Amino acid sequence: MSAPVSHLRQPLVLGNPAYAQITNDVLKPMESWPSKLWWGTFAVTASWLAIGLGAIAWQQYEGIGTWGLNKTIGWGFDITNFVFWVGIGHAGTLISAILFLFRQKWRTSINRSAEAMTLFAVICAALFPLIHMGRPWFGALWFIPAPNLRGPLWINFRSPLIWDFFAISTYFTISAVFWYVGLIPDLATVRDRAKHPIRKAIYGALSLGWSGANKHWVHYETVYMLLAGLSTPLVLSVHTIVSTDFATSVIPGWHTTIFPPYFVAGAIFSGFAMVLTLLLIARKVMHIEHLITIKHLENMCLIITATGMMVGLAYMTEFFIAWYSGSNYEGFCFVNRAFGPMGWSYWIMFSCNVISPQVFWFKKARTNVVVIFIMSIVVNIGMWFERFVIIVTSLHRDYLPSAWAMYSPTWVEFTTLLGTFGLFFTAFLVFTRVLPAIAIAEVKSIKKFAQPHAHPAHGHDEAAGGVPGLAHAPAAPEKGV
Amino acid sequence: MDRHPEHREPTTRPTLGEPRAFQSADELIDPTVHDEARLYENGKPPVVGDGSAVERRDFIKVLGATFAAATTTAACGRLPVTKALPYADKPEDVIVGRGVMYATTCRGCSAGCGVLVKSREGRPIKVEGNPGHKWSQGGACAIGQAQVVDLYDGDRLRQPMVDGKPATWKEFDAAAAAALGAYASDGKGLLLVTPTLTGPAARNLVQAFLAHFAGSRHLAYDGPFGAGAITAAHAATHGRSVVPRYDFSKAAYVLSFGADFLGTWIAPVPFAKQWNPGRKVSADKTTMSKLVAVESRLSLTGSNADARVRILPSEQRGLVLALAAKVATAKGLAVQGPAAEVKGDLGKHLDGWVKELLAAEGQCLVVADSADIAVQAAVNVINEALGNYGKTLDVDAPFQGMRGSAAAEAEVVEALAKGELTGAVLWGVNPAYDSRHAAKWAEGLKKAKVSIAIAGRAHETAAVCKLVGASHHPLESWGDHEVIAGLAAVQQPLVNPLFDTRQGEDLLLGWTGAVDSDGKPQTILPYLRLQWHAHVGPRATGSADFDRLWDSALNDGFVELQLVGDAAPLPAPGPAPAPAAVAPGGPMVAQAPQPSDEAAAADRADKPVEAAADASPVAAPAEVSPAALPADASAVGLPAAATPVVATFTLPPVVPARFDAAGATTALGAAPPTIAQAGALEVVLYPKVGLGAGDNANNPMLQELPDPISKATWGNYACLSPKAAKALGLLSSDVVVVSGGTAQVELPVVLSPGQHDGVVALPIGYGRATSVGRLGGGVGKNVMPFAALADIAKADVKPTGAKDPIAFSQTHHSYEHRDCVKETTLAAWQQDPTAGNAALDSMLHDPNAQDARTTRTLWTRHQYPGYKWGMAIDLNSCTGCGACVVACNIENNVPVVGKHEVLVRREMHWMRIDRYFSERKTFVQGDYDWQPTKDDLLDLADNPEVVHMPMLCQHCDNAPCETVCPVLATMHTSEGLNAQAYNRCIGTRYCANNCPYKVRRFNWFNYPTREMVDKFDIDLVTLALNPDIVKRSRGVMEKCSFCVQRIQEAKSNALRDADRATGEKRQPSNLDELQKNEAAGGKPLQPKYVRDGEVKPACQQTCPSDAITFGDLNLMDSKVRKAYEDPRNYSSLVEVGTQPAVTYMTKVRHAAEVFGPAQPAPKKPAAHAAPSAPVAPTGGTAPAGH
Repeated sequence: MSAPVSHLRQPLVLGNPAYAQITNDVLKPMESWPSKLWWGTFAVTASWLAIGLGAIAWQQYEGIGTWGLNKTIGWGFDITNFVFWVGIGHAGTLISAILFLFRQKWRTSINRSAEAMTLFAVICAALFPLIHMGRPWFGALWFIPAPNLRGPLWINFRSPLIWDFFAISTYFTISAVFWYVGLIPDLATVRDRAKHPIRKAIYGALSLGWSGANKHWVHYETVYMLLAGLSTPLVLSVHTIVSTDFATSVIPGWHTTIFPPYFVAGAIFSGFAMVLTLLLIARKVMHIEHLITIKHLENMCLIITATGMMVGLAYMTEFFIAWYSGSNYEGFCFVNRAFGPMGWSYWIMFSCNVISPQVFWFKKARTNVVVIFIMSIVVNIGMWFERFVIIVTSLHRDYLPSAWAMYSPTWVEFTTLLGTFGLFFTAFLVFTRVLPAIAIAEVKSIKKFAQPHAHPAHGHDEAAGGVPGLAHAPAAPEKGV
Repeated sequence: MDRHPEHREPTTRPTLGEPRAFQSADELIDPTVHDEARLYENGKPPVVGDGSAVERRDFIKVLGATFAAATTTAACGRLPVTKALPYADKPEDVIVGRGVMYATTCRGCSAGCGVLVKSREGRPIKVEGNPGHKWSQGGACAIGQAQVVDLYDGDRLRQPMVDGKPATWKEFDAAAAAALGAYASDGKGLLLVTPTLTGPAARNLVQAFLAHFAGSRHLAYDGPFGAGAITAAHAATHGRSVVPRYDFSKAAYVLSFGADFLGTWIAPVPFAKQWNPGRKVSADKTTMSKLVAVESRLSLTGSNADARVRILPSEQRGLVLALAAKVATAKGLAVQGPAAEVKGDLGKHLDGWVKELLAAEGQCLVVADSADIAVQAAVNVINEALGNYGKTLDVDAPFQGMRGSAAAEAEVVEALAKGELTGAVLWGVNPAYDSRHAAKWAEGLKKAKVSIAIAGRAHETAAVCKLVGASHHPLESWGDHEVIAGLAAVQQPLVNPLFDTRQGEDLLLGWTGAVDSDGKPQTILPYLRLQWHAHVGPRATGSADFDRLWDSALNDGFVELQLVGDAAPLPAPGPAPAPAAVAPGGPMVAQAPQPSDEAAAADRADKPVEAAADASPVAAPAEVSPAALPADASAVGLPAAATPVVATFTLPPVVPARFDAAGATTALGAAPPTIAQAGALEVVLYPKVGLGAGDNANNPMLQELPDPISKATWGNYACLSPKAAKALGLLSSDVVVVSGGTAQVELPVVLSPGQHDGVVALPIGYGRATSVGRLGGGVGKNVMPFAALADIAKADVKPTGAKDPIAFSQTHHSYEHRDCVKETTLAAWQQDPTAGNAALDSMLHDPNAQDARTTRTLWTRHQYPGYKWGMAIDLNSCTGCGACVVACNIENNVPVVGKHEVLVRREMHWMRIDRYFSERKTFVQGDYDWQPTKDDLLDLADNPEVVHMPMLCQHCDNAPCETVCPVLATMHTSEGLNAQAYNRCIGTRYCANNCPYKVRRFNWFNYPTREMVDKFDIDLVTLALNPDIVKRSRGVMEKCSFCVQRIQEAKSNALRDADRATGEKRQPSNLDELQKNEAAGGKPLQPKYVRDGEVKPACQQTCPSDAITFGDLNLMDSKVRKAYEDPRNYSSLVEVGTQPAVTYMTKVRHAAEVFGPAQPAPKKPAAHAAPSAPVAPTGGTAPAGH
């Protein structure tokens, strides 16, 4: 092959597969009966989901008192899980939108699953504000600024919870649209390959009549670019606003101006870790190691290290400011956080989030799939504890010592958390069966031959559209192979 | 968002000349009529939008509402039908929706406080202190407040019982007649046991009973902690077998040997009311009384003491006798006591006390709780030597609520057990549980041929009696009381009996065969009136018209009487002399000096009293002889023909009691208390403030009321000092076996700072039989067996290794030097009235603001055009008794959640009392996590200073909760209230998280739930609910509302009263005040304005120590505004910037080294322009507990 090969950069797609091969590889899970491994995993995650639904049903029937919360600690697992899942949801948009705008080509093989992950994570997250309410049947309605007969009784625009509602719903909507728009060319591919009429009909409807026409591509590219632009500020806004749930309060340990950037960094940190957890399994199970390469993993490890150090900096800045402020309450809050009765949670958080990612300074570590996998879990544990630490250790000993209390979660809270993992993984497993888990069209675009200068003789259509219209012109690129 | 009415500028009132619509003819004359009515409610009429007919947004709202209405109509089925029927025949004095207050007497304990009970549509729902009552002065304690909950307890006896089985009254009457008939043939003697009865009717009923059943004996039984030693000692030293009427209001110095007079001793509410004014300090009163507590465990009184000394119970006698000897010597009182043995280094305190006592001669008071006659005699000697009799304590008009004698009880229970008595009738007492001789009582009653209990519950004594007459609740009963000589009080029923019960008096009247003139059995009400006609009327100081007297007694709850002779007008309980004297007994009736079953000493002392009564010319007026009366019950027992005017006659003069040195010398030599030999620790049994001796065990409000000191709920425990616990390797909630001799009990441990290291303290009143009730039966362990061991029991404490978590409402005991509590010493405060109240306040305050306490801010403040409600709580006054907590619970339908829920820190109390062990003296820098066993602070925990801080919603002007609620369920009103709209709340709990005071309470379940739901008769319990307050559902946040229902009621009363009172002129009656207010720089206020003091939240109303002031800050001379301007006033956590409407006053203590207010102040602050005259010269070194 005469294709130019960089000696500095590794190729983003290994083994130089044919375009048809890429399509076949990606769509194979969709077009074959699921393996025993898939069924086994599905059974496990679905039972988690069932347990979680059971727990939610119980707590809704009986009351929030089934949780371990009390008069001093009004939020515990509920909001911890909420912030945790919202954070996970961040990497999706970051990978899809920001990396797209920055022309980071390596994102193409992971963006689809990352976006799916985002949506599922946001669904998991959105569950908690809903079920944690004392009266969700009213709360779900009254959050919406709907006309009512109560005179000036409207929603309270000063409440960060209202901002949350708008931030999360906007984020979810934009992410869903962005994801769906990105899916359209691939859905058309699925439609074209479908044999069963019902399957054809469904994917036909979903692909909105995509024909791969040049006009379609032009529109598609424009919309995708605009949506990426729209989504980008959301990456910052969502977790910024989530952080204001705490930052606008008066509680020491919450009332902190560093929260917005710190939360965003933490969200990216945890989001990437969760993407890694999922993709490491997916690339193994789906045999797409050549599409999601060590190079991808390494890049993500570097981002994890970078954001991990950012949150580490934030932790230390908090301590410094607590001391520097001279406020008795702030000072006590942070001393108590690290050395009080719940200090163990702080040290879990600190070692998972700040110390352990330092392992990625070593290339051997960040190219070792096993190490990366363990690290991705460790980081997510750490980030879950970060939220736990912020919420619980701040609340349990705030201003009046007479109200100081301890928090011990109940089985209902643990099973509800398990249930959201069940929901997340079950949804992801189903996603891998019904939708192309990797953006076929985009992956093809980053093959060497897809680049405008790689093969001048045959590069026009690709140069024009950036990505070949796969369904209708599969033969053209094949020539070059 | 400027859409709330309070942000609007006041609308200008249209003048007469303007064309305007009018709603009534009144408006044509005075156009302000309707404006005022509207303005009154909200400050000003709400204006929505820009004034155009329909605003855009309103249009959308209306549109939406139309859709919603249409949908609702279409979608919803019919609601279930519930019936609310109007009165077919409305009682005259019932206005539906308005409460009526009835005066009666509280029977929660023997203190006899006057209370007003609020009745709504015939249901008593709230007990309030009777402000006019001369004895209790408007206070009511936790137990008193909780009486309405007791009333609706479904576990009360619902019908009589015969041989342990429920029976009908017919069966009971037959069985009782048979039993008492059998007695007649046996004739050994019946024993009638009652609590001390003080009312003329009640006492004469006893006399009638004793007369009817010849040879019978009467025992006044005051529960486990009677005042028998006090009466016996006074019999010896002053010739009066009485408990004196203590007056703490006149005592500038109080020395208490274990007497928890603010918590449980004799009459805590009146004592707190008396003691408190002396503790207030202000610019006009720069001195303060001093309290020294010498005790074994940290009692409520000890927690309020300026100095505390820890002693062993066995050390008390020597110490008090030594003090008496010193004081007697100093004052030249010729009393020769035995040589006193002062143990350890306790003697070092004596000289200091003597000095302080001498400095406050005639203005001090020494009290002791001891059951040792010698100790009480020594106390009398001290008080006598210092000239306190007639000043701070009074035996001429004594307290009569406790006349029982331990010796008499021991004697009769022995007789009963030996079979020397045919049987016993026990009325309103439960000695088989709460007596020291409980086992003997049970044994004797089982053996007895006749055993009848008249009881409200199937308690331990009822369980061993053959017959149980189910009696009314006190709130269903008639009765009379003269707890304080000269103050006769009526107890009137508030409601028809809920169950098939009878009043104890009716049973006794029936058994004695009392009949009215028609030959029908006599009943209590006519009997009561007869007795009052005969015995109260002649002594009444006011009207001679009996009907008027009776009405005023019913209206006020009491009448003031003249004292009779030189005596406590109580006849010694004993066999009645002759049937002729039976019906009209009472203080005026001659008593044959027959041997009483009381203690011999008490008896001796009574005789001169009776002799004096003998000589009295008083006789029962002939016209009230029962035989002459046609007893028409509906006409309340008075004959139409008979004149209701009572006879007048001259009462004999009061002869003051005189000190009897010889008697005192004898009493000082009384046998010492027996001390058990086995065991390392001395046992102190004590009643808890909320539960007393256990009578209230089935009352959920009281079970869940945190103990003022330990802050524990639901169950009892073994208190050990932190050092003693450390020596045994114990922490709170570790289960130990407390064993001494035959008594053994397993209890969890509570580490109790301030307790003597050699003491294990056990709260009594727990471990009740399950038959007492589903809630309280079986909670905790019965520790009374320890009382049977010896006068001073001893026990060993052994760890079991098990854990039994105690449900504490507070687990951290230090306030960490945070700006929530501020305290100082009297000396420092006299130098500088802002002492202890750091400059932070003034730094944050806006000097230009009209309100002195307004914090600097960049933002537009809330406007308070009408009222601005505020509260000031004086930490100097609050004793921590918890009465306010229960009052709030009952007023506001606060649910009881049960032990498990308290354990997970979910008690719902809107008001709590934070108890901190103060570190004013010792503070380890940077140690934020004081656990009482930590070595470096163990010494501090030996004898800590204590702060009680009531904590409730602070109604912040800058409320952190208000901004974070997504649905505006919590909002600021134009009157400064932080309002909570339950209907709107969705339960995000963000408000509770964001509250720095953690006063918001979330309904985690639909309460009552789980552990509680099967323990209530829910239909009954709901009758106790206040209909002015909605019951909150699950998932809703709630909190203190400043009793907004009371505010609204007062406003509506003001409006109505102003209209009524001012007639045609329509001039508000308080216009002068309002003009004055404006002249004083206040805001222009609307007419028909609520006057200062017309609104009292439940907590303030009941507070026995007047710690709470509530009112309108816009009134320039309101009490609360004055309190706000006091230099001691501060906001809790002021630096958070919440600007609370609730403020506190710095706690001031006597520094250990200072007593006597005559400290010359070198730098006299302006606020102290007029220091009052010194009460006493500067004392010497005071004994310090530290």
